[in-house]
Amino acid sequence: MAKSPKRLLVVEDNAHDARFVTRALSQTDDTLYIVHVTHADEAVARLEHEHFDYVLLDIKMPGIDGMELLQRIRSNEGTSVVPVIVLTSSTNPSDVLRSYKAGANAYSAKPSSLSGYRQFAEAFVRFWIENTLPPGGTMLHQ
Amino acid sequence: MTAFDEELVFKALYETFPDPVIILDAQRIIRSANPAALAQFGYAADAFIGQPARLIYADDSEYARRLHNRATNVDERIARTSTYSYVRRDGSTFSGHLRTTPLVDAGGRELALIGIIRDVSDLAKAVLERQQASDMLDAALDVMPEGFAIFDAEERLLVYNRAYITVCGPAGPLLRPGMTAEEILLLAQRAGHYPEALPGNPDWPAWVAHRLQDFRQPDNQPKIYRYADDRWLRVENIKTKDGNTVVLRVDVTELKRAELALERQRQELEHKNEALDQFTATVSHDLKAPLRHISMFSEMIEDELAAGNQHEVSASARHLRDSAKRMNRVIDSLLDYAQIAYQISTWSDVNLGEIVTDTLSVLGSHAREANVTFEVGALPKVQGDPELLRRLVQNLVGNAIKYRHPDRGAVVRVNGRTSGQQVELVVEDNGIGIDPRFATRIFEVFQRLHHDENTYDGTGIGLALAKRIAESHNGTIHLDTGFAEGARFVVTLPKRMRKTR
Repeated sequence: MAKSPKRLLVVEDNAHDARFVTRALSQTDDTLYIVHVTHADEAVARLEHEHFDYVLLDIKMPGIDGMELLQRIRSNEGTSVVPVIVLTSSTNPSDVLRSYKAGANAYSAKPSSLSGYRQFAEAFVRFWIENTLPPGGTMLHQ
Repeated sequence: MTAFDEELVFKALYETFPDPVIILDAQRIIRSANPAALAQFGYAADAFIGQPARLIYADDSEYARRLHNRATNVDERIARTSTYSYVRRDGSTFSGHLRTTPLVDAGGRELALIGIIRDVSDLAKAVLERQQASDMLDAALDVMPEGFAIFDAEERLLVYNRAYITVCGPAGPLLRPGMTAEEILLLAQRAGHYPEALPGNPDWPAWVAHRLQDFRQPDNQPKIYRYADDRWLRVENIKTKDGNTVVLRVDVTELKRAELALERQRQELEHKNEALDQFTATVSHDLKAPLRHISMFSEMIEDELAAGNQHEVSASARHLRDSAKRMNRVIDSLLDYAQIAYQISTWSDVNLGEIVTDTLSVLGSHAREANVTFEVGALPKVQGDPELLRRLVQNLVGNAIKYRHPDRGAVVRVNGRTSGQQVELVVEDNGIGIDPRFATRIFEVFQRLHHDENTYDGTGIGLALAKRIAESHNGTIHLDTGFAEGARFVVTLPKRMRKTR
């Protein structure tokens, strides 16, 4: 599987949550390159200058919240099609709906166990990374 | 056939004439009366002839009126001016329309007066009844609280009631039948009767045109306009079949005010509901996060113990303890917040100056450490709960110290001023400031702008608490977004408390 490492931006203000998710993700796919930022402003700055294949986004953050950041990502030409996965503690249906309306590609509640995080990481890698087709329709691992 | 005897014919006519005929001499003595007159007045001929004319009039004033009318040669063709009240022998009265013809000699001297009295009792009664009905209607219209008027097809005022005069405001005393609807409207408008069309408002001609349009072609939908400063008028114009326009004006101020108050309450309630939703969501998030972490760190400890990874175990245990502490702090903050009633019950005089001095001494060591310069101006006195106000000041001054700028010496200024019934307390700093976008959110529970709890610790309850304290005093707090040097909070409190709400 010769491939350039996929780059993931994790936007998460809570240090513990960030630690759980990056740990589970790197244990599942060690080629994944993860950048963690704790603030929406930082995320905007990074997205402006660097390429990311995916964004993992928390909704409830100090200052600009995840929903507003998501809208910005979608309205910005360079990032308008980057897959954004919302990972948040809220299971409130209105938050789910709002996230999809704002342009989220997927929504997941934060797991409350380590195995839950592992399952999330597994699903993320299977669906978002292994399923990705390169341009022109050729399979990625050929 | 016998020859035509004119005298006989006139005699027969006189005898059979259906209306009473009475002939008076120059001394106003009855000289002759036809059978119809005798029958009408109920006298035998010998009891009637030779009597003065006064006999047949109901009373002196009626007779005086007759004499006056005769002296002034009133036009007897008009029933209204020549109808008198007559009395029969039995004392009963009737209305009679009197028409007279004098007999004059060659020298112009009056010899006699022939009077024909037509009984118009039925007619007079009908007229009287009509007048009474009309008076009754006028009286009813006048006591009606609704303004009522009728305009003819040329838009001229025909009738109007007392309430209509009132709703016309400054135009009311000038109302006269014959004025046009437009004249009345403009009179009131120019005098500033309609707040939506004050003379200085460039839109007034459009407003007047709109009102006239509704008068000329009413769509049968009542309209509500503001009038007389702060009142509301329901306007309804109705075209009748005969081409007139009936206008109805009802003062609906009370109704409208109740409606507006209801709407305001609805919005307030909606706002409170939203705030409650927000509060619940935030609280559950901030309580659930540390709980989740506790559960996961204990899971990690288990894993690491199984793997014999001693160093990681103690790190996870430390994180676990931190999460438990954090949860404890969140719960404490919530309790703090919940303890402040929406309306405080005990009021006393509070000297804000003393409270600030106390606060500065409490925060003294912290402030010295941070090398903060305080500039405190004169502060007013208010009424309130001293303990709560102390916490309000502590939170604001504490924040001002906490969010100081790393590159400049911190300056915290506390000032006050009184304007009218309001007291303002202003706390400003030269710190890192607050993005104006978050001017509202900062006052919500557990809203923090800084993720880095190591630099700026706290659960995000301080300003929510400050807001609740201000509001429990019927006051407000806001961030002055125009202040660029740092952050400036303005607390407004009523100088005196209203004891009841």
